[in-house]
Amino acid sequence: MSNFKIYIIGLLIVGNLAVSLGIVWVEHINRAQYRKLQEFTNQKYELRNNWKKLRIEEGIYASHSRIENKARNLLNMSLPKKRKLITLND
Amino acid sequence: MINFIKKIRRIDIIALFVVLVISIILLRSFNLQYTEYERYSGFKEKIEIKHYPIKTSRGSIVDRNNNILAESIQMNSLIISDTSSLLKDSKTIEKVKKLCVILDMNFSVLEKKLKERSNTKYTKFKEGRYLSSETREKILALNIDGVYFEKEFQRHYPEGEVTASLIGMLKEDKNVFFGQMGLEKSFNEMLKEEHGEKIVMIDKDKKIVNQLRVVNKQKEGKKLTLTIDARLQYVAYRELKKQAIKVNAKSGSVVILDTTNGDILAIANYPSYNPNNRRTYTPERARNRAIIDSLEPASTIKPFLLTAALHSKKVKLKYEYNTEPGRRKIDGKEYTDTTNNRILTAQEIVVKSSNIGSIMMLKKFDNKIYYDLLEYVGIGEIIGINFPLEAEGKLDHYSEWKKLGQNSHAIGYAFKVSPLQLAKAYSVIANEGFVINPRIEKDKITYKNKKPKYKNSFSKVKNIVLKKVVEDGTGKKARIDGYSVGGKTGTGRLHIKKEGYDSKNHISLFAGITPLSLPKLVIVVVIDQPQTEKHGGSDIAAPVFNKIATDSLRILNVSPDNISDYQKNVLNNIENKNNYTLQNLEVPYVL
Repeated sequence: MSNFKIYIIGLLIVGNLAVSLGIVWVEHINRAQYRKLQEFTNQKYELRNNWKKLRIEEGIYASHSRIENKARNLLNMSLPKKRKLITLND
Repeated sequence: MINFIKKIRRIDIIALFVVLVISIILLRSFNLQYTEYERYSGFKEKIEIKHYPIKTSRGSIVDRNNNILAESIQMNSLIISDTSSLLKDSKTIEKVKKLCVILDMNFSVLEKKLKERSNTKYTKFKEGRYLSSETREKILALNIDGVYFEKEFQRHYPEGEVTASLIGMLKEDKNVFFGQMGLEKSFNEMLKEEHGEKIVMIDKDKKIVNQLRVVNKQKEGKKLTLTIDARLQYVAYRELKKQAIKVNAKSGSVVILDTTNGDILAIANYPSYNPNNRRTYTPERARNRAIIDSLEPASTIKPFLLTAALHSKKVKLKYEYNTEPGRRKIDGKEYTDTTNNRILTAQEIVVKSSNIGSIMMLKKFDNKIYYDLLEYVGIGEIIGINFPLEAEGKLDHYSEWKKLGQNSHAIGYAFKVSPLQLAKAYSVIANEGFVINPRIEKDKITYKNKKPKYKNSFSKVKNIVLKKVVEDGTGKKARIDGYSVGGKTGTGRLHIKKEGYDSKNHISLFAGITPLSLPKLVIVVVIDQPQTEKHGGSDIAAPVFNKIATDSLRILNVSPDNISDYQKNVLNNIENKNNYTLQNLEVPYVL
C-alpha cells in the first residue's frame, strides 16, 4: 500500500472522528439554545400574563363603582344640585 | 507461520483494527436495531421523549374603548400524582400540614380527601386550584414527593355584576371550558382556545432539551370587541339598581342605543350576579331581560300609531277626538284613561297618553298601514345580534287583528317586543325613518336602509309630539337641563298565563331620544312590578331615564342643544369681557 493511501485513510479516520465530535458538539449547542429558547418563551408568557393581571387590576382600581364610592365616602364629594349647574356650550 | 507474522506490516495491523472496530459498531447497531429494539424503544419513549401540552388562553372580551370585560389569566393548579404517598410517614405528613397552612385549609379536610381518592394517580382539589406564582414557589420549597403543578387559565370579569347578564360565564366539563351563557356562549367558536401538543426530549432533570415535532399547533382564542361602553354600562346599571331597590321592583332592564350607527352602548339588567363568584348565580339573576324577554309595550307604542295615522293622511295633528268621560265601552270592552281628558287633538292623545283617543284614532285608518309601519320598525322580527335565546317578539298579521282585538293593538297590547326591539323602533323615529339594525360586535357591518320611509310623519312625531310629551305631558320627569328630550311613558298591566291581566302588578316603561336636534341616544327603561302606590312609567321609569341620560351625555361629550335663557345670558356676559379671569366666571347660582 502506497504512502498516499495510508495518508488518505489516516485523514479519513481523523475526519470521521472530527465529524462525530462535531455532531455531538452541535447537538449540545442545539440543546443549550433550545433550553434558552424555552426560558425566553416562558418569560414571554409570564410577562404577558403579568400584563393581563395588571390590566385587570387597573380595571378594578379604576372601576366606576370604586371611584364613586371613594369620592363619596373618602373625599365627601357629591353630585352638584341641578340649580348649581351651569351648562356652557363649546 | 513465523514468516507470515514477519510479513505483517504495521499498516495491516491498523487496517485490521479499523475493520474490527467497524465490525463491532455494525454488530452493535444490528443488535440495537433488531434484536433489542423493543426493549430500548419503549425505554427511550418512557424516559426521554414525552408528549407535552402547549397551553393557550381563551380570547378576551373588551368594550369599545378596549377596557377588559372578560380575560383569562394563567394560574397554577396543584396536582397530586400519588395520594397514598402523602400520608406514608410522619415527615411527609409534617410537610403536608405546612402545605395546608399555605393553602389556608384544614389538614383533616385534605386528609379526608386524600383517603377518599387513595391510590389515584392524578388528583386536583378546589383549594389547590388557581394559585399564584408566589404560592407555587412556597409549596415547591416544601419539596413534597408527588406534588407538582399544572398551568390552568382562570376567567376574570372585572366589571362583575354590571355586565354579568350580557357577558355570561363559562362552564367546565372534563377540564374543557366553554361558554355557558351570554356572549361567552354565542361567541364561543370565536373566543375558544385550542391547546396544542408537541413531542419533546427531556433530560434527567425533567427539563425540555429538544423539541422533536409539533403534533397539534395551539390556537389562541380571538379577541371580541363589543360596542358596549363600560362607563355607560355602569351608569345604566347603577341607576337601574338604585330605582329597583327603591320601588321594590321584581326586575328591570335598560338599553342604551347609539342612533347614529346602531351601536348598543349599554344593556343592564337587574337583578344580577357576580360571575367571579359562582355562588351568587341563579338562573333568574343571569337572565338578560333586555334581550330575551318580550313584553307588551303599552303606551310606548302610541307614537307609532300616530305616525301611521299621519302617513295615512286621514289624521292630522290638530284633529280633535272627544274622549269623555274617560271611561268608555268600545266593542263590548271597557277602556279607561287616567283622567277625563275631554276633547283631545291627535297630538294630545299621545302627549296625555289617552287609551280611548288611541282606539278612536286607529278606527280612522286602515290597519294595514299601522301593521306595515310596526313591521318596518322591527316589531316581531328578531334583531340577530348573536345572543342566545334572543326574543323574536310577536306581531300578528293585520288580517287577524279583528279576531284578537283590534283595539288592543292601538294601546300597545296583543303584541310583544323586547326592550332592545323597542329601542331599535325608537331609533327609527330618531333617524326619521332610517332603519339601522343594532349591533353588539364593534367591527360588524350593520344594516341601514338607503331610503327612509314615513320620513315626514316620523319627523313630526319626533320634533313636535315626543318633545311635547316631555315638556308638558306624562314624561316631565325625563327632562334634562341643557338638552332637548323626546320620549314616551308606558304603564303595562302584567299578563299572567291563564289568569289574564293582573290589576295590581304593572310594568313601567320609558323610551326616550336625546338630544332631539341631532339625536345621539335612545334609552329604554323597563321596571317590572314596582311595589309603590305610583307605578306609572312617568313616576318610576322616566326619572331613571333622566339620570342615565344626564350622565351618558356628559360622558360622551355631547354638546347641549337646549341652553336656557339664563345660561345664555351667562355665556354672553363671559363673551363680552375680554380680559376675564376665573373670578369673572363665578356667577350667582340662582335660577
